[in-house]
Amino acid sequence: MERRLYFIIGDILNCALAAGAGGWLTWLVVTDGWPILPAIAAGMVVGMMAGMLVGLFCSPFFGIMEVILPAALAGQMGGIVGGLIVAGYGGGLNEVFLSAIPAGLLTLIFVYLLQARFRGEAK
Amino acid sequence: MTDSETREKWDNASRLFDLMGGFGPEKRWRPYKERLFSAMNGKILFMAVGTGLDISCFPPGHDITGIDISPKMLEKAAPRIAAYPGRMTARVMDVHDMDFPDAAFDQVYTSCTFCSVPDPIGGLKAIRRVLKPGGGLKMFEHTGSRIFPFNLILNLMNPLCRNVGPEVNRDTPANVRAAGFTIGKVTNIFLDVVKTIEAAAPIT
Repeated sequence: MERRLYFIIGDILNCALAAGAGGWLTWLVVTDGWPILPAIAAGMVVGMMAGMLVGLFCSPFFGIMEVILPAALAGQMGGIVGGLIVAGYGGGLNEVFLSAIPAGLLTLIFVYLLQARFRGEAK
Repeated sequence: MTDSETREKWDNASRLFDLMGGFGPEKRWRPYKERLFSAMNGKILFMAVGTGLDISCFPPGHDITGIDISPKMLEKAAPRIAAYPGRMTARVMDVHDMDFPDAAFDQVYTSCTFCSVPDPIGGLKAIRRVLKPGGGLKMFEHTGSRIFPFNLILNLMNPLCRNVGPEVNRDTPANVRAAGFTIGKVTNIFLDVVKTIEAAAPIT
């Protein structure tokens, strides 16, 4: 797990922004008439693209793979949340954005747990 | 992808290379690179010098020959090569077509190289030729992942990435084995994606 404060802050910013952007882009694509499952699927796709773009932007400051992979996943999670909110009950942009951010932070915790599991000598 | 296309791709990439990789990624990877490079010993070949970002991680006082396929990358690397406190030279050369004699080097180091070499197994076999029997191959590389969903993300990213820079879904440890090296140790740095690989050329 990353222990340097600069990179921990960067990871948090990166995943929060990626998930927020994923939710935001999903809000643009999905409308409240959509069935839930296609809305979630669309959210995953556009969320991942948004997350990758955010990761690319954060990459020069905080790392490459350590930034782009969590950002892509956080974007997907943000997109799923966005799809659920918009298709579920027509939630607004602010609600989607603010609800997606915790999903991004949960994604980062997931990545940190995986990192603790995989880091070190490979079997 | 032909050699000239590869050269052109990395010549183009040299414009933004330091901007994209010079600060955050290098700062993040520096402790791991320094640890890997601290084992430098004897006559060393460093593959794909790029703009020379790795040079500040080299321990001082070694005899290092660097190569890179891109002349523009090496132009940018020139001040860093000149500043190395040891003996370092660099030449424009393709890993598939190296003109060094057999068994010319004690160790070969790579840093994010075999994500980009068009024929990785062929390139690793070429390294085996210029490495002394039993000589060390030490690599800092990013590879594909076996972890879902990261393997999916990397496979989706790869068609775009390979056109502007590296491939992101290669199984480099498998390529190292396929080229006839014996792997001593693989150490994961970030998930199973960023890793160091320590291998040795066969003794006979």
